[in-house]
Amino acid sequence: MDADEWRPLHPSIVGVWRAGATLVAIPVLALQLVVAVLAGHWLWWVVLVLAVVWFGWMVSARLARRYQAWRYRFGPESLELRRGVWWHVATSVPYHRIQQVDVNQGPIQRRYGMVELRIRTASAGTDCSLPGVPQADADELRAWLAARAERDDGA
Amino acid sequence: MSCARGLRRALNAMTVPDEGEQRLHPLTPFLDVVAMAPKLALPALLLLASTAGRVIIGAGIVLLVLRVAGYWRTWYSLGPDGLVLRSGWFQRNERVISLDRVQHVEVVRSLRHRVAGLSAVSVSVAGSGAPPVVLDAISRAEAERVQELLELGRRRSDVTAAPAAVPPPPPAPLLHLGVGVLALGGVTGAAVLVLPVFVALAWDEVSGYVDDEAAVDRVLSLGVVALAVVGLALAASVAAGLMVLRHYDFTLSRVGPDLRIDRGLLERRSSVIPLRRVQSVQLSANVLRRWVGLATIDVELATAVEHQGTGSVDNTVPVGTRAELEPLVALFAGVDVLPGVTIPHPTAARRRAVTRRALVLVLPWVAVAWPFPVVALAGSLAGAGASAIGGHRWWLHLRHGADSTVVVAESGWLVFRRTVQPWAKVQSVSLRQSPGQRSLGLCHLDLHVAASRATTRVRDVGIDQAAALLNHAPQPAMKNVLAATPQRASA
Repeated sequence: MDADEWRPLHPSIVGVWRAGATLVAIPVLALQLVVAVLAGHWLWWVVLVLAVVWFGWMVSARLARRYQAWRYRFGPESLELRRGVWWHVATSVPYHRIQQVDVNQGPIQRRYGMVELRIRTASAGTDCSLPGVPQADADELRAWLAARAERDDGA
Repeated sequence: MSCARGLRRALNAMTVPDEGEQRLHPLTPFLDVVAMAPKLALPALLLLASTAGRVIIGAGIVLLVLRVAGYWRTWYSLGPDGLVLRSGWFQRNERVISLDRVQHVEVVRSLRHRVAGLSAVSVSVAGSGAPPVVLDAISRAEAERVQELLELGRRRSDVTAAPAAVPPPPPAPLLHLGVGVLALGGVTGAAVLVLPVFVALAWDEVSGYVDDEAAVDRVLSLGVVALAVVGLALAASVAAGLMVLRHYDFTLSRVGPDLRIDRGLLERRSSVIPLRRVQSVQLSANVLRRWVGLATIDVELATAVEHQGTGSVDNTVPVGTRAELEPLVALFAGVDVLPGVTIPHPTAARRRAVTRRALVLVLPWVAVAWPFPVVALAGSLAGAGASAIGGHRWWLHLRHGADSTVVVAESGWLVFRRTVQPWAKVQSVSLRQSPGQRSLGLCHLDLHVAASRATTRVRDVGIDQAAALLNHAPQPAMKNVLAATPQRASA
């Protein structure tokens, strides 16, 4: 495991995010279309157009920007992440504080062969998860983190 | 014949305790029924109104029989492994609480216990979600024994505690609160602000039912001011009374490595706080309390849930003078001397505070009042003035300090808070920046701990100040969060 190297998430995660956004957007846009047709007021059509534009921006630019902002690294003593386009968040989780590493995979992620690694400490405030990890690497990564947590625990 | 023997054997297996196991006190079923009585009073009254007095008595007897049956098959035992509680007729439950998982032990004596000369013992367990184990009710002497044994066992399991677990020394009192301080604390507390709202709502209800408009007019002719004064006085005395009732004869004392708190008028509570389990400490005081020199201490333990009344760690010290409480904060945090809280945050933090207040106060006003330019202008000016004053006062209270053992963060004007966060309890660190903060060179520094208030936040601190603060951290891993901020990473 290379330490000290900032790595991006796997590029496929953008596809996962896009698919997720689309799944949410389709019923919402359909509902707005129905309302616009039934109500017949021009204001509803404006709302619909705005929603479509927002969704288009989300899928085309915003999610790619989010991907670019995401970096993580296995530092000498801690797992470090930085993320966020508007809100920048940087987190450092010392290995010896790790209590549990979960591997989550939703249906969309399964389709793209991605998993999410959720790293938990004793604090509910710790917000640390790696969303785009290739399925093939997940087990190795989890084992490595668990071993690091075990090794550093006594120190 | 063999059938009868089989039945008896089965009954024996269900009702005979294992060796070393004990039942609760025989009065327990009666106390349970008494405890349930208030909740059942309304249905009972309804039944009484519909003639069926006998039904109530019957239901009461059934309830008592059920409680006796429950009591009959409930046993507990205390051994080297910990506390074991076994209960249930059909679904058997067995809970084992190992001594090293005991967070804190509380002896509760509510009115019914005191009348019967009994106690209840509530044992909180580390980890989220697990409810406390309650032994309700056992004799007073037995409760003392259980509390002592559990505390002794817990201390023995705390590896770094005193090597030989000797019986605890007699408690040394640290703080005692008299009725006067408690009443003043109640009057200056938040309850006073809530009660007038209830009074107003109640008045609204009552006045709707009063037909005699002349009477309403007569009351109103007393004047709004007089009514407000009466209402406030009423609210203040109720708040003071509640405070005295809950915390009467509050005594904080030191027992070896732990602190012990006894309090309550009708319901006596006695709880032990293991200092090693303290995650963070907060001293807070609203404007009124600061004015009269009072404050409150809240201690966070590593129990993620607060359960109904028992085990709650809020209001650890409900009220006290600043001079009395400040040394106690250091004691709770496990240090001799707290570092000076001397570092003010950049003036950019003040600019952010004023802007944020103005956004809330001025914009909605303009949006509503724009058809009337004079009103809109006057309101906006007033809002801007309030934002400037409020933001400035808030910023004046924004400070922090740190050394190699703790971080101390202060903030808040209307409610001032000083949070003391031992480094040793920090699980992970985050640095957050909104777009506005980024342009001002500020950030929030979040320290995550294993408690119900899971985050200690140093608000609107300068990026360089955050770096200096993290340099105090004994674990080098914490400092790395700065390497992860984009500006630094790209620099």
